[in-house]
Amino acid sequence: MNIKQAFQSAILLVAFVATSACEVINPGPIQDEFLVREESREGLVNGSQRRLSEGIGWIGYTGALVTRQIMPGGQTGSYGHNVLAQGGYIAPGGYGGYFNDGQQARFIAETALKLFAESEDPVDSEVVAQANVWAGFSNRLLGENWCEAVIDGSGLLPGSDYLRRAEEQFTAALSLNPGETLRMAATAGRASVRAFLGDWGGAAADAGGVPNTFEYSVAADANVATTRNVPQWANARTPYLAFTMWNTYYGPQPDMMAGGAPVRASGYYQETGDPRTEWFEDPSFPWSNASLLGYGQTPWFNQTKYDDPNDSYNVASGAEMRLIEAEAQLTNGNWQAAMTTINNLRATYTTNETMLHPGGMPLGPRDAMSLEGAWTYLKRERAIELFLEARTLGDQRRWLENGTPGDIELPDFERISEIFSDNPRGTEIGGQARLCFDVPDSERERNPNVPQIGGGG
Amino acid sequence: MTNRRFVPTTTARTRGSRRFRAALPALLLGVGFLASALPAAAQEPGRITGQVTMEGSGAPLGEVQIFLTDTGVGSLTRQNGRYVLLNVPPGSYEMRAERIGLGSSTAQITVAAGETVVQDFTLTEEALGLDEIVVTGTAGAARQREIGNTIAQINAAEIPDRPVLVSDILQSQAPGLEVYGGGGVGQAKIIRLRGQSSVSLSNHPLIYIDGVRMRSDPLPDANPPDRRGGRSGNIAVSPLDNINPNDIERIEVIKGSAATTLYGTEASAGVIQVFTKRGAAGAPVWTAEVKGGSAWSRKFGVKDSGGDPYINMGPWLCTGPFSCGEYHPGSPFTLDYSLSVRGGRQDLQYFISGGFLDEQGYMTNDSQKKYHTRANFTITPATDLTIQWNTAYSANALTMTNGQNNAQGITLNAFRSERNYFGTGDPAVLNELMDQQLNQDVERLTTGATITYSPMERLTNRFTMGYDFSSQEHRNLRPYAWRQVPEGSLLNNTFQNRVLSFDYVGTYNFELTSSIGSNFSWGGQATGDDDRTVEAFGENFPGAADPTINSAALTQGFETRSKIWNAGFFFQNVFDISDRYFITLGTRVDGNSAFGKGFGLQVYPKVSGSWILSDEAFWPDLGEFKLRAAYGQSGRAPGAFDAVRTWSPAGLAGVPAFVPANVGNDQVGPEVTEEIEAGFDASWLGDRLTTTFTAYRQITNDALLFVPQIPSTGFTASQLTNIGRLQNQGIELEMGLTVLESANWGVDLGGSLTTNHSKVLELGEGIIPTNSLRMDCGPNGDEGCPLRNMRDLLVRNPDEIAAPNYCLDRVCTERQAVDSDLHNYGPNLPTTFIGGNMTVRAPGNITLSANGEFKGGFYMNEAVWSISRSVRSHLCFPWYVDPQNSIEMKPDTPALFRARCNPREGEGYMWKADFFKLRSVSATIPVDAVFPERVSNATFTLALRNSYLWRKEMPFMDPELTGDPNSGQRQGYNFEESVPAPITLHASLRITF
Repeated sequence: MNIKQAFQSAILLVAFVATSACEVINPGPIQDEFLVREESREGLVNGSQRRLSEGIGWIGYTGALVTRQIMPGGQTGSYGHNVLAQGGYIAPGGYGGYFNDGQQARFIAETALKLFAESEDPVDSEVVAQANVWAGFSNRLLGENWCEAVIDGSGLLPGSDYLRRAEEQFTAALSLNPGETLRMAATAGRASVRAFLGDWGGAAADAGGVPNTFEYSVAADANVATTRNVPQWANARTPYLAFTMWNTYYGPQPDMMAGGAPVRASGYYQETGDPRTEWFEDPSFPWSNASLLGYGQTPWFNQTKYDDPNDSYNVASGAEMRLIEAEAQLTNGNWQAAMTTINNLRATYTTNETMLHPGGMPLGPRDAMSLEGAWTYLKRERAIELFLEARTLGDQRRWLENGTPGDIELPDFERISEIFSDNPRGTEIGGQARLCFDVPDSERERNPNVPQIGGGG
Repeated sequence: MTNRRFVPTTTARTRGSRRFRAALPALLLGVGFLASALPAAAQEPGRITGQVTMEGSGAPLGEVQIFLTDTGVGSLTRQNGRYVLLNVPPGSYEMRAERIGLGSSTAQITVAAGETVVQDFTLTEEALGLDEIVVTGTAGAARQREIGNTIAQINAAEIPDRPVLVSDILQSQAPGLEVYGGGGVGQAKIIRLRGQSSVSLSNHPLIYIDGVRMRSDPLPDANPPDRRGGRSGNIAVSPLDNINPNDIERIEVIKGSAATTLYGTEASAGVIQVFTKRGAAGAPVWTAEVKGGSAWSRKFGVKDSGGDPYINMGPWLCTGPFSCGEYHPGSPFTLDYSLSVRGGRQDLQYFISGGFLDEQGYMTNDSQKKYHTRANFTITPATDLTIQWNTAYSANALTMTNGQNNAQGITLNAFRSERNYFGTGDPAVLNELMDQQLNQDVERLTTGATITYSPMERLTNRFTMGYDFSSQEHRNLRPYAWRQVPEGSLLNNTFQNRVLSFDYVGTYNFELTSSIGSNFSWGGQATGDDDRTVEAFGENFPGAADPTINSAALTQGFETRSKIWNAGFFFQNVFDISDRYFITLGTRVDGNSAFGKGFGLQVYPKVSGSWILSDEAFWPDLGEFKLRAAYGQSGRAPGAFDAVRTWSPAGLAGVPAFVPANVGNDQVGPEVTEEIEAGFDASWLGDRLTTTFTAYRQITNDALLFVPQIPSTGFTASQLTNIGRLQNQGIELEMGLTVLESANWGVDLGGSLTTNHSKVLELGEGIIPTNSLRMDCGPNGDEGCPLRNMRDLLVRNPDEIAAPNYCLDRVCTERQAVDSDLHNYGPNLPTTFIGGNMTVRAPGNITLSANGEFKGGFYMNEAVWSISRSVRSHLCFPWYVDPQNSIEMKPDTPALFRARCNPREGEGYMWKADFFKLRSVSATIPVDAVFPERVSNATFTLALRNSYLWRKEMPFMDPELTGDPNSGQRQGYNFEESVPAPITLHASLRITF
């Protein structure tokens, strides 16, 4: 071939390429039509767990600030909160990312259920039950933490609609007669939503079927930032050091300072050795990152419930079931029985050795003298048991709105900084403070069925 | 009709072919051998000598190419305009003198054996260069007079202080061409042509080099937020900056859609085409350059605040050419060596170059070593066939200081002092961060061949095939026992990009009547763009040994890849009426693999006209005058996955997990920008005053915006959708005045005024212009709001000794303010540019030059020091009771500073960002006299860059301190927790022999 022939061939090649349709298939993302395939089912169902994991991590972290289970160090930006949120204020219309996580967890599981129902091929009932279980826990996450519900572009619905949807999904899972683990998970999940909805008979009945040793969790995965255990990562020297156990119910108390340093031998953990509330310190990092308005740097004490970014989050447990039984007893006025239930649960834990308490012993009982005192211990015990699991904000809301007796024993953050007294704890809906998240602006701006102006308006 | 598209030659085809074959072995044997392989001198040769001067003034002209056509004999003039051609075989010759930007001159001479012939030349300055050939944006080549749009040409020889980065060459060189950001060693700058016409897609112009499409966007940051390694603080490197500036002959810039239509999809941000040097007939001409210099930081802290002028960064910075902080390894330096040779015969010409750049930056860990080489060959095997084959390779090894908004970076932790991630501002502790190793190795290969085949006098075919390859390995090591990651971690991110392009253009000239000519062009292009990223991460190393990923106890791997093909064809016809009226009609049709299946093809029309008014009989003898106007469209394509509904196959705890990714849009197509521009080019006062004026208006229809979805429906990611109309308009005025021109003295002044105003004309139904759309305009702001509008709270009672009030019609706190209380400050992008330059030529041909630029009419939010984290701000020092220890405010603090300095508010940081920068001051001194006669040119240049900054309001930092040019959010002017670009001083010696 001479140069001219080569040149003419090249021109033809260009003409061919230029007029072709440029069809390119890129690897990576999965196109919608592949979801119906049998080999996609497990991945689709697991996608719900992934989004649920992300939601629990962040909602649990922020909820712990609002419920004062943890103390902010002053970190903003990455793994931190703005000053208002550090003070426990949930800006109306905010937290669209958290809402997205919960909604996607629900949407994925419910999409899977729809595809399974439409499938001409038989679908493994265990897979269907699993999709129902994730759908149930996703709806529970939304129902316990959001004031109002929006489902698939609907208008504003009562927040309890999520929980009723969850109850149906747990029931659907149980109707498939799945294996023991899924059966227990669905039973425990249904018990928890029935408790929230005030169906104490149904809740206690479900709870009774779940043994103390049962735990069901949502995986966290450090491979990707969004699925790593959020509270662990925010708290640790990762480098965020974003919050501390100092000045909480569990950690060293600020009114016991010696030479400018907090007295370690103070607070619930040191007094009881309760392994569920352990914290540690690191001499290389004595302070939390940044600085707390009006106070300065806060001493850094790291929680140990999550000590690895791969640590999973419990969504159901036998321990929670015992506390549901105790709360049902309290609801019926039987506070002595409730205290027995609580103390029996405590006795299943073995204490850590602390500066004030010997280790290796059964965790000591609580000694209530009244119905109100028993409620206080029940509330504390649930807060300890469900610490950083995205449950306590909902608990405090329902107790507040139901007017239950007892005290949630909020630590006195106000003496540390005015950011804790400047604004109400929680959000404001219609001028009223509420312990829940508002439907975010991202939904309000795009969904024509939802009023544009939310709680803040 | 004049036709200057083809290189005139009288060489017979058969003779050319034989020469080509004979020269082929030499082609393969490298520079030195090639040079020596070319023809030896004939017996009893003669010599030719003389001087080249400017017509009129008699000023000597250096770097003029002098050659005997159809021979291998040629040379360049020295700075005093003198030249000598040795070993000229006896005979008669046509002799030419040429320099870009000047009219060429030809003489017929006869050389006798052993005789010396004196031949002087005078060249004329082509004030407007109406007959200069340009190729960017045209089908084939065209004379300036034929083109209806403005086209900027930057002649590298006319830039006195050639910087080490190509992007610096472009800075302040043409109206409408904006270059900003960067400043770190090897760091890419942001380049914009006529502002930004897209809010969602890249606004980087397309870049071509010698007709070959190369990667336009900077190489991506390896800044993986998803990994355990945390942010890396590395920089983006521009492919443009891997071109050796010494290889460049000229750069053509076309700015808007009226000019870029023939490039079709992807071209609405404009096109920059770099032309490298080619061989020239004549004996080998060698050029060597050595450049050395230093860099140091200017003060960037708040003046007179009582704070540190380097905001605690002094220990890691150089603050003078020989003054560096305790933790800097020593004086920063730049050493740049470059060597090239050009020469050849009529049928084979070559330009070969190599260079090495060695830099130690003004920050502790900043350095780079860059190697580059280039080989350009022009082969003319037959009179109707020319092959241009250009190949360039560069390798760049960078090390970086871990900076930017990075919790493990030095700048952030130093700026925030004890309220940082270490809880201390002690430099000895923070210096541990310097143990992190950030390395970036970039390799680039660009090769391409253009075959021009003219089987008939009227028919030309040009085919270009190009391949552009970029490879970047980013390595980020946090070593074992590093304080924040004691177990150690290592990230290795390898990115590769391949751009394969084919381009064919055919042109046929014919005459419709005796006075109307027609130039019909057709062609097609196809470009494939292939990205591949492989990333590995490891952590928990066994000890302090230098690790690889394999050394780690825990390892992970990641991979992404995508490919986009764009292909199109065009037709164009230029009607030439009496060589003074020109009308161009054309259209381009494109398909793109990223378009939705339901979209089809995109058609881009163009029409333009020019009128050489000064060629009319009625035009008085005032100089040249060209009127021009153009209309055209071009586009910008969506991303590879925007058209399809997708789920992301991420995993969870070792199990596959699909989550919704992209809701998909099968109608998605390019956003199409249409532009109309009109203006004139004129010269006055005997060509001493030149004026170029252009007014333009761009409308981007079907603008691609990331439209948020309804979260409760499951797909929460925003979907790229063709909605809305955006507008950009402005003027470009450029003037040049020769104040004095004589044999010994010359004074030239230049100035430019550019405006660019953007506006959101309309948005899709129900779309609220929010910050996420980069058009935060408020509830009714979609009418007339600029792109990237700065909308924020305004302190209404700034001087009052009281709490800040943020509301106009009532007193309110920050939290009580609602959306309608926000204030529209204005655009985040400059709207007014004023450039100025001056060149003074003194006796001895010593040249002094200066150039500066003003940018104004925009706002920046520069809230440094993380007020919300209670970090002590130097801006607030005058109002703190005890500024070194606490943020407690004095009781008489005015409202504005209460807003700025209170962590709960942190407001009042919106500044009018107008500034002026003295870009460069340089002196060029011919030093031929100190070299032997064989050295035809020698110049010594001293250049000071970035030496002065004036800011209208901003009390600290540098308005051009904008970090990552890849980040869409940062395509405006934003503050980065970084150190501003340094002042540089370079001295260079350049010799040609």
